[in-house]
Amino acid sequence: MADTVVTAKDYMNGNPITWCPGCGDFSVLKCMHRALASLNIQPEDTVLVSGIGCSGKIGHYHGGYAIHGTHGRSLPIAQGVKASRPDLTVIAAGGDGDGYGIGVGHLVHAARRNLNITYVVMDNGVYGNTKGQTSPTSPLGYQSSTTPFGNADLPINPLLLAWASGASFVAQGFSGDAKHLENLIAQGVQHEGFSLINIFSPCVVFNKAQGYDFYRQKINYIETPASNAQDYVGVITPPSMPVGVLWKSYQKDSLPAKEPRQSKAEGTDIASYLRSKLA
Amino acid sequence: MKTAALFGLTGQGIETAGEILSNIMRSQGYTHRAWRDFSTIIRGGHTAFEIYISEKGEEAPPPRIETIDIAVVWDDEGAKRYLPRMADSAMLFGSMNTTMVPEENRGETPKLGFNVWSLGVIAGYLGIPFPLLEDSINQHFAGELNQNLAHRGYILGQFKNKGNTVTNKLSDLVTISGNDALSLGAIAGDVRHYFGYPITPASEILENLTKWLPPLGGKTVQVEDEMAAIYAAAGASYAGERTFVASSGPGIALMTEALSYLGATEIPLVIIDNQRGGPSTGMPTKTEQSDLQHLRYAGHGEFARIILTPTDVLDCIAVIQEALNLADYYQCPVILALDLDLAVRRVSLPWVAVEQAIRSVTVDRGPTLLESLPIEDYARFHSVDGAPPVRTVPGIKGGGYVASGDEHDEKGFMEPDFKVVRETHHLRRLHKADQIEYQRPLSIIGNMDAPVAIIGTGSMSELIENLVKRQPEQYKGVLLRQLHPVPVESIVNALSEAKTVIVAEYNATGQIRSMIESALVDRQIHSLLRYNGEHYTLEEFQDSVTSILSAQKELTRG
Ligand SMILES: Cc1ncc(C[n+]2csc(CCOP(=O)(O)OP(=O)(O)O)c2C)c(N)n1
Ligand code: SF4
Ligand SMILES: [Mg+2]
Repeated sequence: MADTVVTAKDYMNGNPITWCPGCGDFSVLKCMHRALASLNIQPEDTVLVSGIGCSGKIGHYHGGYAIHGTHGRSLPIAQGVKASRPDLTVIAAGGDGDGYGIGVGHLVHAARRNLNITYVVMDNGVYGNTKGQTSPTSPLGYQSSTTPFGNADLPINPLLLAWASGASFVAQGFSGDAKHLENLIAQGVQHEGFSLINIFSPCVVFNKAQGYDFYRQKINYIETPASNAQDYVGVITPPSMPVGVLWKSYQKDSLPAKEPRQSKAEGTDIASYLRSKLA
Repeated sequence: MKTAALFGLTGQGIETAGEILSNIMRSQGYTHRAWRDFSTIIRGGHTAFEIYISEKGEEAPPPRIETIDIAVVWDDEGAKRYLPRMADSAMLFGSMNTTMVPEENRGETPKLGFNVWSLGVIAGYLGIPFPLLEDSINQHFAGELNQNLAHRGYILGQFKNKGNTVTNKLSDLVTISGNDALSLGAIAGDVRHYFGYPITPASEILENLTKWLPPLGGKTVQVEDEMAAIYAAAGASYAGERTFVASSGPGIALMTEALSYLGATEIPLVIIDNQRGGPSTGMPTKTEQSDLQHLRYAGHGEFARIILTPTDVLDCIAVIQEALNLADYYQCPVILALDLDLAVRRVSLPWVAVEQAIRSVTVDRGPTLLESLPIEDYARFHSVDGAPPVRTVPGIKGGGYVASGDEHDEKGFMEPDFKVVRETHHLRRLHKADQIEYQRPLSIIGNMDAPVAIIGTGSMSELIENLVKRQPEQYKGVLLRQLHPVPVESIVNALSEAKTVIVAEYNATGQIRSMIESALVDRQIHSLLRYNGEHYTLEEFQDSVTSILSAQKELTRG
């Protein structure tokens, strides 16, 4: 449906953005729009489904179609859109609390179901929107109002979890490297299956310890995805903080569309079809 | 009318035998209704199957009947259960295990094979031609042993056959359950995608659609839980595809967060609750109408919703189509409340009636725009004079918007001026379904001037309908189909000539009665309540109604 050439600007909707200045999510929004434009996908053929959190507000800044869902439920909604409308480009987006806390069960199933959707997680290691509580990716010892003596729960490793659940594309990016991130998102969108893109996207207000400089010093760039389990686990095991496409395999979408959709309007006689199904 | 019962142990194939009997009667053109003691099938132990068969030429299947013409039981447990219900105790048959069954009615039968033998007994008694039985048994159970067992049973049953015959009436019947009816109606209503999570008594819908949708280019997805089901359905509906969800109490509880989300975002969706005994996991295989108050109030915050309650199997076919249309028009959750008995009850009825129900409603997408946008500067939630706003679907250029659970303005954007939007947008959304245009809020059964009106819905309807048929000068029925918004005027009119009103429902607190209270002011009201999970037989129902009325008489006399 590439009737006109689109630019990232066509993806803006004029809604004033209310993230804090310096928030990593600005870059994610821009990179996503650039990636979509680079693939020349028309805005009206995209659906961005977001969760709840600062990151979840991203849906309000998308000039295509968007669904701003509830906390943790972006993946089921996105899969509902994709399963019923395979013609659309569907992106789910949200925070680390949204995707790895309250909604983590859906991640496992979305990965194994492998519908062609892209899941963009803005991981800031904190509950930004509720003012700085510990999140499922906060490091051990992380101090916040809910863990004043330091976080004692092991952080979730989303790259390992998604991969173990059967994700066919796993990547990690960084808000501070826009060019690289744009490319990752474009690859995720092009991948025919479920793709997880975990993005280090700093919260400059509530998680100052994990800011841009922290990531710049820690991340290591990976050029080619791992080709076997051992390599993959090696690459993603802390303290390594890899960015790049880390895993890519081809698996069949578990829900291929078989027949063209038929409805009464197209002249099928539904009643006689139904009669044939009954004893 | 003839009624028959089969009672045995789980694992003896009682259910299959019942199905064979039902298939034979269907093939010969006899409308009927089947009932099974569903709970024991799951629990292990005893299980029962009952069938109520119409006379020749009757179109509507009978309701659940107390009086049993012939029963075949495996042990005395069954004899105890059915003796009090026999029209004639000489028609109780059983295996050699029984002591309470008349001696000449006992037969040698192995434990596995009892079902085939019993089928023979019932077929002999009903006058089903033996070759017909032979054929059906061959299709299910091969081997001479089975034929012999069936034959021995047949001879025994035939012995007590006082002129019953089954002859082919050459009419095209189909056997369907309430869940089948919902599945048929959904497809007729243009549903092509369905997301579900198994639960009794709604799994059948997921299973049906899994078979029936793919040839139409549709599909089902068995998702990870009910939250995923309703959110995926919301996604599909947002994307312009018609869908619905179906579950029972525990699943509906999980869907409640999303109900509020649908209310806020005005994404249309039909939600089916096949109510079973609660609270919690409760009685998963027993019928109850006890989620109604939950369905009415579930969800945080205030938003519009519609609740419909189909009255019988055929009605399910039409109501789900109407619900899909209403959801598209009002852009709010439309809830269908059934109860277990209606969902799983199997009735055999003329295909023409089913076809008529399928064709009775035309798909109407209301203000949904499926093609191009005729306006500029589209605002999704902009309403002209309170009319439902135009809803675009993805793919339409210039129609993009955000569906947000955060309070929003007419464009859909969050963080609006709350003082403004709460007085405008919020109130429109809240009150849009206060009055709905629905043609069939209730059905009146019988004569307007009958003194006693019985109100009920769901599985109760067949009892009300048949009681009215028995005593038309005494009773009339009001079968409720629109539970919320309460169709006050229709109810008041329906009751205008009634001296006494009985609200019959399967719960302990009179939920329907309190929901429709505003239509019942200044009236003598009685509640008929049952909450043991068992669907009434017609006779039990009649007795319960009678005792309410005689208690009332006592009162007025005393
Ligand atoms: C069911 C539910 N529980 C709790 C909340 C409150 N809440 C809103 S955002 C949020 C956490 C968001 O954290 P994250 O997903 O990491 O997003 P961020 O704000 O950091 O981008 C919580 C707990 C909610 N909206 N809904
Ligand atoms: S609080 Fe943190 S995550 Fe939220 S907008 Fe501000 S910087 Fe971004
Ligand atoms: Mg976060």
